[in-house]
Amino acid sequence: MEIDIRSKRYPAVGAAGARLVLENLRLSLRFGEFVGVFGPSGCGKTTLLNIVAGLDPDFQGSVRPAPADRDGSPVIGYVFQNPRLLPWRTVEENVRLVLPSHLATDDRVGKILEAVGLADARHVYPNRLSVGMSRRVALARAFVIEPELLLMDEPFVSIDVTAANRLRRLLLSMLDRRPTTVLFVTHDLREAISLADRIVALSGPPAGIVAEVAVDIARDQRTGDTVERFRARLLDECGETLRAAFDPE
Amino acid sequence: MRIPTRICYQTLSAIGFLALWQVAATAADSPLLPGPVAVGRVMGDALASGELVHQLGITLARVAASFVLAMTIGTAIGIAMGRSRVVDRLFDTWLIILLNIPALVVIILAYVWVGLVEAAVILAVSVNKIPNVVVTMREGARSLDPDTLEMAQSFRLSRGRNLRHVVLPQLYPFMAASARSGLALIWKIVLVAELLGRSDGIGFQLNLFFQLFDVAGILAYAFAFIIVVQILEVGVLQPIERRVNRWRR
Repeated sequence: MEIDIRSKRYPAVGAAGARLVLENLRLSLRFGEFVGVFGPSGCGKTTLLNIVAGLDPDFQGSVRPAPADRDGSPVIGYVFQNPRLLPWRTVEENVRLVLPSHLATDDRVGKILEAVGLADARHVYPNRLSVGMSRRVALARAFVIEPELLLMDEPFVSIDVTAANRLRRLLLSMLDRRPTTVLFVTHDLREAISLADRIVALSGPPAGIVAEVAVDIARDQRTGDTVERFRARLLDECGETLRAAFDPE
Repeated sequence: MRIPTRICYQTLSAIGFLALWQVAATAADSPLLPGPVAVGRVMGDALASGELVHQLGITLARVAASFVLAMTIGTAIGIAMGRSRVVDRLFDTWLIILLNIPALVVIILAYVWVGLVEAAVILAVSVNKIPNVVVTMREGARSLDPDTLEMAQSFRLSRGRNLRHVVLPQLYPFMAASARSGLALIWKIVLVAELLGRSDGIGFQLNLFFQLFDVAGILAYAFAFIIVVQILEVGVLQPIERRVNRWRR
């Protein structure tokens, strides 16, 4: 998939002037590749995902090939920064909703709810759920369609560490079973290193790519130690500008 | 307030009203202001003869037909105007004109153009109510949550599913508001239309009683209808509202 965004600007609203958010951002995704997009808050990462998802057609450039539907079932699973569940539908109904009726079997929906640990909460309405549980429903909703492209916008923030790690393992095991291209936005470099095949660092605004690094540690070797060493080496090798991008703290 | 306490207050309030009315009637001592007992007696007689039920049924059928028609058309137009700026600008002036035409003018014109037939009544009453529904539903459609709409778009929900699961649930409160005000408005307009051009229904009966200066008859039929509308409110509208709101905390 070739993403080529020459420019993306938001029009002026009231006192706030027009803002150029993305500029000269070129990124190609190989099929089955896990790309971590890393950058400071507010630099335009979410805007990038919205453009790739086809939610925002108002930009200069192109995304090719545009994701096509496979016989009525969606190909993009989008895990938004907020869960964006329908509060008037139960957990199970929220997940079932995105599947075409012929695929929405009890078995399929039940399995994915089990996998994210929500089997007991299937008939609960979302505003009875904790933030972490809502996030897990959003993950189940994105996973259940078995997407070809998975867009994830900081999906594991505000989940406790144990649950987040379990969900990361779930994500990786799902990717093992079915090759899926992933565009994963995060502002946590450790998370990016522990999950991605390749890390793309954005700076901004306007955001462009300031660095691209392949993570050359085997998946099963990515423990706390190796991730930490990789991070230290990365920050060490990078020039001053890159260090600013990689290490905003 | 606990429900038994509320019913207790409501009963007390109703008894107070009836008592005041009876005192005024006794003091006036005139056939032009019959007391609740006299009116109740007339109502009982009309009920026993079947006349009240017959006329009530005819009027209710007209109310129901106009109500369904006005809600359906008004909701459709309201959503279209709320979601599309072009449609909104094109028809906003029409809406203002329709909102401000007196009900009486619409009824007279409908009888003149369509004839003294049932269709003219339904048409006239619906045309009176549609603009109010449009205004309320347009407000609802404007306030749809963009986050859930984007979710629906990125998961490629079909038009039907989007309407049923994402859009309509957000519009229910607006529908309830326009249904409630609609019921009250529509039955009053139906009576005027009946008085002007039908030979049955409550409005026709009221005209008859008016010519005979039979105030007890007028009050008996009016109160019978108020009671029926109250029953519809408590027995139909409120249960539906409770059902669609059960997801709220």
